[in-house]
Amino acid sequence: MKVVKIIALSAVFAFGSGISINTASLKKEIVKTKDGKTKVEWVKPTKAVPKDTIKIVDTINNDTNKTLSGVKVVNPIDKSLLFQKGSIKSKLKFKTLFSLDGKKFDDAKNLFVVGKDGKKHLATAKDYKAVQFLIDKVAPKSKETIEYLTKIK
Amino acid sequence: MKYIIFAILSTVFLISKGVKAGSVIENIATIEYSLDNKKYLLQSSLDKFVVDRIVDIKSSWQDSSAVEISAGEKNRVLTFLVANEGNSDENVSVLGLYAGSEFAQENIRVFVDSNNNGIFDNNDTQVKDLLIKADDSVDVFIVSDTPKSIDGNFSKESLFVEDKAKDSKGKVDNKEKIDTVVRSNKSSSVGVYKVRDYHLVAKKSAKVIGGDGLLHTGSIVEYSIEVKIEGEKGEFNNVFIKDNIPTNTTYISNSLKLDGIALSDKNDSDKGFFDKDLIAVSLGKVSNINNINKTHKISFQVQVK
Repeated sequence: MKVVKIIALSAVFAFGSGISINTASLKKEIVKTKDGKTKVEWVKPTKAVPKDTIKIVDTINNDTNKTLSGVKVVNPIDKSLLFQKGSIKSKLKFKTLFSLDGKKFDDAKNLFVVGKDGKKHLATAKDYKAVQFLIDKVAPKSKETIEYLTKIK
Repeated sequence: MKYIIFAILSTVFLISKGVKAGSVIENIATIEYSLDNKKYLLQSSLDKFVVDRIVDIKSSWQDSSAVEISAGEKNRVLTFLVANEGNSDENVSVLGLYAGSEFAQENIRVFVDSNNNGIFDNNDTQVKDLLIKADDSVDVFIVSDTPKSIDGNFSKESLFVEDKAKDSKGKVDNKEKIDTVVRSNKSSSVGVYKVRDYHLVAKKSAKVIGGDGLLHTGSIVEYSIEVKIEGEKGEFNNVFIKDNIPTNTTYISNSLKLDGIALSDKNDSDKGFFDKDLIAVSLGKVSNINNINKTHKISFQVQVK
């Protein structure tokens, strides 16, 4: 029997499937609590200016009874943001790849750019156009996050 | 004089470019996964926010040391840099103020470096306001005159720069609400003038050449002008000496000399010339630094009518 691989497109088909992905851009701001006190929290930015740190949080929701495997999460990096190396956090087991064109992904150590001197140089965070997380598994009935920091240029 | 708001289109940049106010930053995530031997691809909804306006104005004095002045000198220049380190174009007012020191300079004016050459010249415009583009900077000059009578060694002038912007909530601009965050909307920096403790001196003398040494009709008179620096170590650049031919005398052709070397009467490539009723000699730099204390001697002859 021929196995047909089906690829479902569009977030609309997530409804009812029990699997979804959400992404949020957050900034540390002082917020007022219900009892009138203040505290620092990561919230949707109310005032965001150059040099501010923005945290990107992807939330993977697996409401099924099955394990997801071969998971790849991709976030394009907005041209106004600078990825902060060493800032990725998650309880999931994952590997990180980057892309210089938004399409092909590879280890950071394998990505090169040609400098003004005409020579090849290892790409740096300012060259990254997208980040990809290769996640082994996402457990059934789980809600996991993977987050990283950026700075507004 | 009519003051104008001067718009700076582009100038020397020393600041890395920040994201412009009003820019929209977007974030989206896709997930690809396998389930029951099938592959699926999902996309999150689009998450976005707007970059707000940050106001950050700075002024700094640029001269490497105090600018030297002497009593009575006009148009002495202090150079400042006014930087807009924010992410939107800003209109700032500029004002030159006496900064409280031993004596005050007179006729304080503020000019923008209109031709962007780092030097105050006739192409520069006197201003009270500037429009500086985001992440840009401009040279501004305080120009002032030294009083004829000075009591003290130093005079300080400050450049005060102000942007009227205040912290404010979303202004609707291109359909996106942009807040204003003020990091710095005022800045001042102080420049220093220092009175020279050395002077350029020109001493003129005359003597009758030949004959009985007395002055008669037809006598030949030689004039000498000695130019040197007196006082402490220093130098003057672009020194130019002019002297009128005395009345009732006639200049003797080709008699002009500098440091014993003949100069042509024509205004050509050498350092001097004669023109109708005056002689002129360019000395360039006159210095007494580095154990050089050169006295330049200019001489010319006339015949008494």
